[in-house]
Amino acid sequence: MEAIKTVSLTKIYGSNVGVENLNLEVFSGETFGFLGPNGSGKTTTVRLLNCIIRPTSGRAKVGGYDILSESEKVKRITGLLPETPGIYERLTAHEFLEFIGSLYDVPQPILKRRINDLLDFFELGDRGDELLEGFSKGMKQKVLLASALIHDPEIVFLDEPTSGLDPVSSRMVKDLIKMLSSETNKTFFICTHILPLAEEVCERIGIIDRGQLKEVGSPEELKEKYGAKNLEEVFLQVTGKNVTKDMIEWV
Amino acid sequence: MPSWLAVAKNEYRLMLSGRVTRRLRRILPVMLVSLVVVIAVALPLVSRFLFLELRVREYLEDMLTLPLRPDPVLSLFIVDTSIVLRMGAISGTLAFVIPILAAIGRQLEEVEVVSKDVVLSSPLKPVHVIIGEFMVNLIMLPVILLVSTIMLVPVALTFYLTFQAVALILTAITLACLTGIWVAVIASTYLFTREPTGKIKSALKALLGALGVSMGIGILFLSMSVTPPNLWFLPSLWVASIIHFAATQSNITIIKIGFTYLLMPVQPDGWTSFILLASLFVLSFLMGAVCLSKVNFTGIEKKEEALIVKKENFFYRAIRRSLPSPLSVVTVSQLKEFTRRTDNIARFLSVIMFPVIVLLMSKMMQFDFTKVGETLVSLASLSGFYFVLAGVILPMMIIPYIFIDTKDILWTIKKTPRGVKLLVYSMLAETIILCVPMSIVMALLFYLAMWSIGGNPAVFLAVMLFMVFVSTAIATGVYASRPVFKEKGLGHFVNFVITLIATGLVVSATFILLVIPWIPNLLVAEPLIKAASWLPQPTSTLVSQAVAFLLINAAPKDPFIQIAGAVASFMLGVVVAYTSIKRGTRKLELYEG
Repeated sequence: MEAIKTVSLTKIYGSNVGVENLNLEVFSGETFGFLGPNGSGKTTTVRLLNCIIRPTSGRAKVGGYDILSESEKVKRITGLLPETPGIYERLTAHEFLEFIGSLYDVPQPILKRRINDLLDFFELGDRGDELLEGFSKGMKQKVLLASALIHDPEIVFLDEPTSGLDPVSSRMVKDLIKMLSSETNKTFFICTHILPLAEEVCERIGIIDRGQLKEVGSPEELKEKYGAKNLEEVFLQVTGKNVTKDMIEWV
Repeated sequence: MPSWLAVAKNEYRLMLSGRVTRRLRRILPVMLVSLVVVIAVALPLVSRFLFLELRVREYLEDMLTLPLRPDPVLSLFIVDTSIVLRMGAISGTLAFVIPILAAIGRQLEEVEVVSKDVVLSSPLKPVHVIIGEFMVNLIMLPVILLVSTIMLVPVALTFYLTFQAVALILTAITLACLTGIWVAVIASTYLFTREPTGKIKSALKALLGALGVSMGIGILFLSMSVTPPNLWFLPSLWVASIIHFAATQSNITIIKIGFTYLLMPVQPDGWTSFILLASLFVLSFLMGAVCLSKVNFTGIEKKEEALIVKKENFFYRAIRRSLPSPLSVVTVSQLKEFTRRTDNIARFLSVIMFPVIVLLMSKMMQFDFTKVGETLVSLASLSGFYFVLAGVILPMMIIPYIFIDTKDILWTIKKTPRGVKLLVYSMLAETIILCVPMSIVMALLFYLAMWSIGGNPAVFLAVMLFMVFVSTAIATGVYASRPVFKEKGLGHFVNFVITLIATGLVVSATFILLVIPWIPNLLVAEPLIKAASWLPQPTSTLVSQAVAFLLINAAPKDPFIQIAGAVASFMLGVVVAYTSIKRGTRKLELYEG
């Protein structure tokens, strides 16, 4: 069964194309990697699928719910780690997670337990009462990850989940995704630049460039198709990005 | 290109980085310099062509009342010069204080110190950065000259200002302005490089708010009093003395009180003032140069201070209990985010100065012998203006700051099922929770200030609360419709104007609804006041005051009409508030979507 299905999904900002005719299927319980260069339309796709912005044309269903007519239901079953970390700096980690949890109507006793569990999991248990303004970028990222999971969503969208994390925390996030994916049947939609992460945790991968979906398949399928040793080579071939010699000469 | 010029150019670009202002980058300096030229030429011309006509008309009017005057000859030839000192003091205050406020404000608005790493890692000397900052602030000079000279238009209409007089006035204003900018740039840079923490930033923001309000009060006081000798050390009064000397060619001021003329020496006199101002200018630059050698950017680093909050206080617990969940949680979170910033609280509390101004004004009117000509009606109208302004500004001290730097979190909130609606209602709840106690204090202060005119404290309180509720809802709706996420931005001004106009319309409509039952009184009062104007002074003023007093106090006796008017105005407020919130929620849901 499809967790996410888009049909000719298009978003145009004035004269700029955000996403154009996106036709994509992500299956339930799958970990899907969405790769693309900067400004290729990854974040726009995530915002569309989370009903934060409205498409210019086309349709999409998330968890079987239509993103236009059933947006509230979509929002309840999805969790989002945004690309840019929006956080209330003058709240403590505990207070911030309580704030986000209450926006999803998580009952108070359950919310308290989840906050403690998540803070412990991300090794922030002893810093839960500290104001977020004193947290490092990686620590804030962990709090945001926790906030994406606080209401136990069926489908989790992670936009650059390991951005700013140290290698240990990055490993922890990868393990968390793998564990949740295998044991809870959650669907993960991961936008990332970090190709080893995608190669390691994603079952299938989609590559988007200038708003258009260029390729979809498992890492193995894509490597075979392009005769590449790794995903990086596939990515460079699909997007056509190469460093030119001219530039290197003057640098 | 010299380094300081590169810094100045960059700062200038940052200053004009908005979508609209960006287009003005090339033309603005030309426009501003042209403006100064126009001011220098226009003021003497206006003075030459208009003052004579006005003076002749005034003489002719005076001739009609000559028989009533104790000294007819003096009456014709002696002109009240106190207006020059009053307007000059306002000009001086603007010229000296606005540059300080603006220059410190610019420093505060700049991004965190860490983001200056790019600039600081280049081979720049601190002196280049400071001179660059000073240079870019010079853009204020023509604006200050314009604003200050606008204040002098009444002077130009009363006295003939020669080109030499205008040159002297502009020189004085320029000296005051340059001194203000230099002092502010040096002081704020010095402070930031010594202790660049958030606390200093908060303290400076609070200081800025207090300075702004003090300037308001200062202008008011200076405009109402003539050469207070105990304030001789104020640079703004030196500017006033110079302007007085330039306009009247004299160091003696003439105050006209009724039919009596008082001659008072201006202290300090014009030339002494000029010497003092020039000395201050030179000294401040010398002192600045000394400070410059002590400024060092290399030690700047942002200090992280972990603040631990163990237990929620009574205030937040009470809100949690009194509001339904999840609104209570969201409101408490919003409140914590707002109240944990010192500058937010300082700015919010500064609104209390509005009733304090009115209170001080009413006291001045009672005790200052030069104020015998002022009427209770003028106090009432001015107080009414401040009353409405305070009611509108109070929520505007909260709502815009809820949005600052929250664009990213808006996406998170938009992602949640009823997030936007909850956000808007929590903003409303937060603002009302903060505003209600403040409204009570302000209403009581306004009542004390206007006690001599009359009125019921319960009415003051009810009207203030009603106004704050309405303006809060309107401002919330306006900001939800047109959110502004940067501290600096034209959007704040536009939103403020929209809120002010909308609230003003509702308050006016409310006033009309409440006054409708009084129309019979008005119908009687109007011809009486008109007739009173034909009577000789001071009978005319006394009769007008008596009629106004009766109009204010003689409320209709029919309670049904009074209640109907109050209910209708209340309903109007509720409808406008609800519509604004509804519209704002809908717009915010669609924001950038």
